[in-house]
Amino acid sequence: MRKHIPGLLRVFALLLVILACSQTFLPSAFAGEGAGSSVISGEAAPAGAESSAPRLTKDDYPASSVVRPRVAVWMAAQMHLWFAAFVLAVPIFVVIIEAIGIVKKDERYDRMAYEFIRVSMTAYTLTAVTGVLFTVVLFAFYPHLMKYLLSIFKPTVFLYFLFFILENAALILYFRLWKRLKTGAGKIAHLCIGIALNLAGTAIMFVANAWVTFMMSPAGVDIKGAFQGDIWAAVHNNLWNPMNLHRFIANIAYGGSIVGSYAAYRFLSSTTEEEKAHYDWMGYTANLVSIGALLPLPFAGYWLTAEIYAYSQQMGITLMGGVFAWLFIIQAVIIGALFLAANYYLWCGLSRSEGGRRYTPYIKYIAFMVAVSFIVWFTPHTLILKPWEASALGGQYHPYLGPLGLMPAKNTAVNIMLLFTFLSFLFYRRANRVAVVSWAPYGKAAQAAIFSAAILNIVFLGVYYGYFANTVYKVASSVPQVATTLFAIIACLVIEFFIYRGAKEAGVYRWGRMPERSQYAIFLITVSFTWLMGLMGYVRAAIRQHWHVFSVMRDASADAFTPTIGYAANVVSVGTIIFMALVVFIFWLSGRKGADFGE
Amino acid sequence: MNKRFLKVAAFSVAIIAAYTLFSSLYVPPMKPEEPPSLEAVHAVGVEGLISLGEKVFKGKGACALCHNAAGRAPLLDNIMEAANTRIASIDYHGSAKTAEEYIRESLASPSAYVVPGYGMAGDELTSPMPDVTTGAIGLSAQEVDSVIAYLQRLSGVDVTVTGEAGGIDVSGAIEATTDSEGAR
Repeated sequence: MRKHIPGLLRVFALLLVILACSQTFLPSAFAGEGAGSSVISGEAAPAGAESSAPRLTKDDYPASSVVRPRVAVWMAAQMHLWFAAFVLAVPIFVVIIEAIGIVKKDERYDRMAYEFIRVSMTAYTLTAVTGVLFTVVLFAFYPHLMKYLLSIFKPTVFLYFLFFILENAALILYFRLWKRLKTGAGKIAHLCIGIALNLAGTAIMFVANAWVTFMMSPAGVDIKGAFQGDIWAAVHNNLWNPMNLHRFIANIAYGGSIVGSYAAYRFLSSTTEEEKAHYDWMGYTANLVSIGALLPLPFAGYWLTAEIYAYSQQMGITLMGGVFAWLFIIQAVIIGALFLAANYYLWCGLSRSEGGRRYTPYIKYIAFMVAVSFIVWFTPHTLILKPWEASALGGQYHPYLGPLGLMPAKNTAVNIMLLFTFLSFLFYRRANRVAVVSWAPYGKAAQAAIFSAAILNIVFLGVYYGYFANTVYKVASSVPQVATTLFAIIACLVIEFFIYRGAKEAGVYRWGRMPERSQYAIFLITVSFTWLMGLMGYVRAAIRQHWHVFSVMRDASADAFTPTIGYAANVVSVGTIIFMALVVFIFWLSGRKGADFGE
Repeated sequence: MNKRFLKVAAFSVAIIAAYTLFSSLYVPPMKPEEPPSLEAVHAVGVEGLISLGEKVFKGKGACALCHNAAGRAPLLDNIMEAANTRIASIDYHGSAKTAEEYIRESLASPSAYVVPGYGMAGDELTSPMPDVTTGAIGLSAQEVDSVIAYLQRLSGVDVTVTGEAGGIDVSGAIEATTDSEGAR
């Protein structure tokens, strides 16, 4: 019976969601019956009032003496988003690993993939439970907003459920058939079920993203928020595509980090060399996927931000130049910590092979460059000073360090940090290999030339456009800088592939020969990712300021004010601790005896 | 509960604590702007109108976000004199005849004249400024009047706008410096 509990919980959660939503479709749901309910204020638009965004007053929001409505919604939303990222990300990771296992004909990949889909099963249940919780608190505390959104997005809600059912069906098949479809065509069919699972999961995310981005950049409605009838226009609003891409990539990075943490913990708990080797390898592979996805993430972020600016200059400036500017300093610190941890893990990995010693002298130079880039990245532009400090400094900006606070300097720093992290990876990859092709020295020279030219070009673009061109073109360097970084990474990888084709091993390569402290770098990455996701979720919602739906539906509740960054950090920290505790619970649950449902 | 688990948990909590303390102690405690409230301001005469205009300029109108020393948009200290020059320019596409009309027109149609160097990237003839009389900013006619009055005072010319500001909706005109933390 116990093994059926997660499945039963999921069915229960699905029924609750259907029940909650079916209530919203009933005409009487918001009819204002009873003392506790309220109707939309009398200031509503005259003609076509049914579909116009309602104008609310404080009395239109149900009060609660038990919880602060916004904090309750915030916490429920964040929990659901973390778990959703987990269950969207891990299957992507699992399918990739399963496919690699098929291609390489290596059982270890299959074992790792299975281990993780097993972990996901409990996470799916918690995702559904937090989803129900989120839906309930939204309808309880923001009924008019939900009614307005449903009046536009009702058809997509059905689509959401359709994908939800498909995803669950695919998940159950994928998990249950793992050991039956183990070879030949059966294995390929199994992989296809995994791909279907991911497609359904990604489609769910895209549908939900449409609702979220509509609230930020409404489309398909007139100036009063009246729906014009074209639901595709509402879905395909300005921020939908960039948000889809950004979240998709971020999920891969996050999934990798979660898997990495699991492996790190199991590594630390391992009692045999064989176990240590397995979990070391698992941690490395997960970290590779995670950092591989982290590299293009800032570029997806640029696109999202550029679209925010394109949609509303005011919203863009509020985000980057207003009160939230300091939030990006925090973001820089965390991403800097992520990169430092990722580099540190790779440097520790050099100890797995005898050949790794050849590259250890270079670590200090890479560390220096990453640290310098990190410092530039979190240098603030505007300093908050006391009057005497400002007078001593001669203004709000530091005379020498002030320019480093500008976006062009930060873009330059982050691109250089990416390239040096890539260099760490390149050294790690070739640590235990000796090239046998005759042109290897020329290939390496070409790589060095590409790398150096890329750095020079990135610095030139940043300095020229940032400080010697018209203000309008200040951030124009970001796209060619990104292109340079991507070109250098791809070109060096291609050359690397051919240089080390058929390479000899420099010595014995031992998985598991890693210092324990290296595993803490993986924990740092996971915790930082989780915390950062929470913080960025705050700013994404907060740039709407006092609007439920930007510019068409105002938030008139007592919680309409924008919380400070410090307050948001406290909420995010509490949420992170609860989430991480639940993740540990999931790991424990899936690791105990008898948890292997597939057998 | 073994020792290793506790070590990992303590390490994770320490990271979270470090980020929280950094955000709370290192980052300046800037209070975001108050949400606009529907508050009646009984502004009396020209001075009341100018005072309201300043609040709208720095608050709801979001003008000061760009029109500041950072150089994202031109400064407006001497806009009345500049307006007369711009109306006479061959690049001017609007229909204003006076400086007051020019400002009123610019608030609703910012691309009627784009100051060189301040257009959209790659399109110097289009202003990145939104129409502040609609959308997210949505200034009322009285608020537009008050902003013009404020800019006239800023330029040191006579205030010609005669809008009556008594009892109007000044959504968002409350200054960001208002301490709202206590109320929370």
